[in-house]
Amino acid sequence: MPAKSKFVWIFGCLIAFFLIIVPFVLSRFWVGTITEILILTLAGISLNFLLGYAGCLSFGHGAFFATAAYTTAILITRTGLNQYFVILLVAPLMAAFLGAIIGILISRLYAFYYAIMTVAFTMILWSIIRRLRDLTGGDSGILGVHFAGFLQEMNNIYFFTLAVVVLCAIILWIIGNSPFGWALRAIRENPVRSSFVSINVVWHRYLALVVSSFFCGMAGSLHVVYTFGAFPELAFWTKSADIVTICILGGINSFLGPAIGSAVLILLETFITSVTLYWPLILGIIICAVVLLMPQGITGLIRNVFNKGRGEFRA
Amino acid sequence: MFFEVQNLEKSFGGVKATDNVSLHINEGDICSLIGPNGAGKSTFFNLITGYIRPDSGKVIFLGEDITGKTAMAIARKGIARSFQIVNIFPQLTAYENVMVAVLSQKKRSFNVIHPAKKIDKDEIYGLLQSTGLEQQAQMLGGQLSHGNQKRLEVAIALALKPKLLALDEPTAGMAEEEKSAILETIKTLMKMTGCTILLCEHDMSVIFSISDQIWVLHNGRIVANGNVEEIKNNEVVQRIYLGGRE
Repeated sequence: MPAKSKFVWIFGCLIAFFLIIVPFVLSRFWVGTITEILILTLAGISLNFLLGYAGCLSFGHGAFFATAAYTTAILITRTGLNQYFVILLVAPLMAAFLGAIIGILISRLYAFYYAIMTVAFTMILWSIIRRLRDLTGGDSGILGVHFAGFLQEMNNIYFFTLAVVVLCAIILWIIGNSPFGWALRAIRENPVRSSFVSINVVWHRYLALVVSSFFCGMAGSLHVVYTFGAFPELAFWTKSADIVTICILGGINSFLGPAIGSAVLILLETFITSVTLYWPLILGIIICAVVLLMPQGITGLIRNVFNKGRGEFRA
Repeated sequence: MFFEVQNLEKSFGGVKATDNVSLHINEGDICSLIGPNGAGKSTFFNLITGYIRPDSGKVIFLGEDITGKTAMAIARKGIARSFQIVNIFPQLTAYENVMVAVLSQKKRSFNVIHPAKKIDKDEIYGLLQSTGLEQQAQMLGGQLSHGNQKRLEVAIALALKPKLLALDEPTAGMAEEEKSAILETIKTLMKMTGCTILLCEHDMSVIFSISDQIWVLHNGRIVANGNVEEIKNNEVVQRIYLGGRE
């Protein structure tokens, strides 16, 4: 077995073991922090499906996150429907529906035209959420959203989140390695040549956005389970920037890059904000350092060490 | 008629890159389009494969009007092309380059369940083998030598199981030995797959050894056509090629 896959295997087992014992050995605070990392990881993996595979940079994934979060919160507080498995299907579907609408308008666009359009949509959604006070609670959001049944206790929330995130990650991994996923890679590499091998470029990019928004919505729903609320900041563009940041920190050419990015981002945030208030300053410096010194992210750096600096990187 | 072009025209600004071009190709032939640099060969290829839309004229393939259809639709109909300037998927391996084309040809590119790497392995290796790339299967497309990238171009095009294979200067930038090797490959492929080939070249020696039918393009117009002997003896062609650059 080559050193690399041996490393991945051992490291993976350790992580899995760690994730399972977390609630039994760590304090409630850390269980919460890791839950947060898991949720952001799912958002990151869903964005990376679009960014790393299809090469579409969305700066508006917060919109899908927020749409599902609000759908979840509204369904629970306004309707008698309080069954998490129904809600956790309906809310991501709402996010996917939004993705399907936005996709009609942007799937033909490339590079920064695509990025700027996604920013525009998330800003529109943010304004709408703040305006529709009766439905969304305006600036203060919706608070006190409690799921019925076992999703009240932190450890249960943790295990539930872990299970959903792992399941979604597996599904995205399968899609990413299917012929559909490979068509997306071909489009990322060379959209012109892709159309000459009869790949329907626009349609593939469109479906990639819909799939990605669904899973980002799933993360948004889980966020409500964890925070018991939905807030307009989720749709603010900085939330979207966070999701992009973890992909870049972790490495967009690696499937689990966003998981590492998410862990690094949230842990740094937790530590640094306890020391200084200038967290955004430190984050800015870290992002600069990553982009300049390890453009393939943390996973890229690890991989380069194993490839003895041959510099190969691939999704 | 297998493939026919009627009065095709395309201008860029004031320049007529394709000027009233009509030609036809018989099934099973190797046809060549020759002409000096800038004669409009690549433009013609781009017009018939859907990269750009003609201003007027018709392209008919297997009795169907395919004028102005998208590149994807034309590829689906059975016209595959290679590019003069290497146009591959640089960060995918040679195997993956061919794989995406094979999967797309089989209309599997919307399949989201099966692992792509486990499908059609034999077919993909077969294509790499017939273009002489089996040793390089796991190398990234961008890291192959120029000659091998040109071969990969052909392999990707062949993966589409084309009825008409349009090769835009398949020997461009190659050394002499490499040129004859790739021509051999093309001949073998043709016998194997039975597809019709439309080649374009500016180097006449390359063409003469394999062509059944030759069309000469100059300043966007067809100035001569015929078999190898007729073209060799054609005065206009001699003037274009021997009379210095215009």
